[in-house]
Amino acid sequence: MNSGANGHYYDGQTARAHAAELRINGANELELTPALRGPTAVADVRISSRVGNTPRRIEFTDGALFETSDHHAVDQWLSQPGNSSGWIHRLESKTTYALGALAIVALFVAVSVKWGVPWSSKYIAQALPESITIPLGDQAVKSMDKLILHPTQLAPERITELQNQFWQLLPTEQTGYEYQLLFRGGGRLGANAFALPNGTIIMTDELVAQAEADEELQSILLHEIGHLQHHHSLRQIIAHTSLAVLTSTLTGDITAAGSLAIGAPNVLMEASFSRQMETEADTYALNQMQYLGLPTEHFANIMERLEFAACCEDKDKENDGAVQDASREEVGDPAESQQNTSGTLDFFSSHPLTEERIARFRQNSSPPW
Amino acid sequence: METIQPAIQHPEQTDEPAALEFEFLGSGREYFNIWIVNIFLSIITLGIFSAWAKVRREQYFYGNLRLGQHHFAYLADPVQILKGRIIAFGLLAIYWAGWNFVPVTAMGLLIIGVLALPAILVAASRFKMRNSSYRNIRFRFTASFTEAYRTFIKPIAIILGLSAIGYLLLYQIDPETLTAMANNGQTEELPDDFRVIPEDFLPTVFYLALFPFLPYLDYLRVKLLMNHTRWGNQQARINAGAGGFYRVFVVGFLLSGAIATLAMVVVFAVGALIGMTLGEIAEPLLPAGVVIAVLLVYGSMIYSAGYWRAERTNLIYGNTRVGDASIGSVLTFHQVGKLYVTNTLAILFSAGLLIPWAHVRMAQYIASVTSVTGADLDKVVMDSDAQQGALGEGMVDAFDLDIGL
Repeated sequence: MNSGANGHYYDGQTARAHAAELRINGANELELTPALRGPTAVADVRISSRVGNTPRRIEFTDGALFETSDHHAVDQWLSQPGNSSGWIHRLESKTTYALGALAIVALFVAVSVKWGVPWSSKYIAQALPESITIPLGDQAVKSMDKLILHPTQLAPERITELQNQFWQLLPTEQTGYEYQLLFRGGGRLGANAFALPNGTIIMTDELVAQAEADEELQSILLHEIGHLQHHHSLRQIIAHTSLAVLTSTLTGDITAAGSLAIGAPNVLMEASFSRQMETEADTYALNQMQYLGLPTEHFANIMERLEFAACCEDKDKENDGAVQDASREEVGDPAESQQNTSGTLDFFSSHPLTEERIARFRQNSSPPW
Repeated sequence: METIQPAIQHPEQTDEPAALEFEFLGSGREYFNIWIVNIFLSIITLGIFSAWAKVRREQYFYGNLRLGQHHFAYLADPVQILKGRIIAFGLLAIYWAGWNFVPVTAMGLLIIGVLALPAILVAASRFKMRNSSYRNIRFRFTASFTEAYRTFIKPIAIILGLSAIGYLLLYQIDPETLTAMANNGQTEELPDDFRVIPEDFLPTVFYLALFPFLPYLDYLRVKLLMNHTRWGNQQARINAGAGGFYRVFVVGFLLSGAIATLAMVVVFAVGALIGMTLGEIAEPLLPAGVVIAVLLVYGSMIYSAGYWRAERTNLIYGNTRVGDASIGSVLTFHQVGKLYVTNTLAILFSAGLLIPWAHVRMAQYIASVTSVTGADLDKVVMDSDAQQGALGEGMVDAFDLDIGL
């Protein structure tokens, strides 16, 4: 069957366009009318694959070009034996295929966000050499000291006492960390504790002041050691970076609007990942407390007290005209202490279901033996 | 059979030469299929197909862009892009592997990256231009690596010089004063970590020195890109000075500040009004109020980014000639701002599914306000072409540098 396609012919030397018709003859040659060039075998031209309704390019070896939007005719030339291109366009042109692709992509995104990225970041974090992780943590301590934290006001004897307790809590096996406990004035971070990738744990004076028993502080230290044992802060950094790279490579565009596409999966992952990490650290603390013979209630007690201080202090102030917790007055502005603006693994800002967590430690309050 | 006639037959006799209009013919619905199928194929091939996907996306946007009666075309070979990506990936792997033996600090890496920027700009522009075509005539980017480095060396030297002066000035300030400011007046017996030293301000000083030069650097970059672009035997020329870039940057900066402030004032005023009239009853409304407030403030910032985009594009294209032809570009702040806001909302509330639609809408708008006048396109003939590897292209993709023309 002979079918012709109307389009434009360009000679390959100038930008001049000639309106022309290209049709196939019995000898499988393409013939141009007007005859600006002789018949050319279909095998000797390069025909571009179809992308949407954009024009097709029939490129001749001498640089000349015939361009047409008559896809029907071009596809017929291509349906000659020996041609099998165009399968991508067939996928792209059927709504059912597109919906199928969408379903699989959505599944892939969901699985990546929920398991893939957090899981693989765990292995990358473990494989990272100390030459990377230690400067990272040292730098974090330095900049936090300069920007947010203040020197500790605790008595040196108290510090020694707490640090001695800390040494008893550390895992006995080889960990790859040089564990270290530092005390600082929390500034606007208030009562808080965080673990840094070099094995440093920072505890604020405000947190020490909130504790009614040293075992409460030990339980929090165990939680932070759990974060470190699971490489949480590194995993978080790696997970966010790799998710951003993945999303931008796949969607292929980072524009003002496109960056939102990267933000959304990140927020989703953050929500599930940070909860997962808190649970992991809690599990570690719970197991270690039981192993060391510490009553697990202590963790529940201090969590409850801090939760109360964070949520209800404002109301108490309004109603009673007085700050309930006197110990807070000594260390910085109590109103400021509620803002958790830190980007690090923050002990209290990322606890979606505190009640559930507290319940866990209450249920397991009797040692297993 | 008719032959396409040039837009103007006798330029000397015509007062108003006919303008060729740009038009974007793609549709969001059609592009959605292409977009999602290519993402799918990229996933199941573990990323290998992403090079083909990129080419198809570009082909869709170039092929649907029509000027006069003719379409643009994107001609890059996916294998070239794949090679570039593999090379970029290999460099990254070497960097990670070499870290153990030769640790490069973040600062060192930043310096290497900045030093490589002009070379990446040239390589990527060459690849992009060589693979862009209109009426079967390819574009070309002709700047050499040396030219790129020569363009930026003077302002960079000035910025570094100013940073050095600023750094020396910092040494004149008593470090004790700085330390006291950072530690509630306490300076005695502080551990070293809490002491503030002039080095801490090094990045700040650098950014302060860099900031006034940003419009100028943008101007140099645009000038380098435009003045070394050819379409066949037609040379592109930009006739805009640095002053225009300063105007766009300064006005854009002030405008977004003013609009964001206005949005915040409105939010607080309305919030205070509701709080005062309703009192305790309004408390359950608080979370919704916070969400609305955040959306409003962010929305106003996104909207005002439209000024920068519209005015900068007009400044660049409105002052560019390609051979005898001049380009008309009349984007408006309000239209671009509106597109930014509605596109952002659409993407947010469709969980990303409307990304293709948003891109098509933007392309349609920009095409609809862009035109070419005074062109005698039939006279244009081909230039000889030089080959250039895909490294620049792949690198730019891997590290996501927006260097679009």
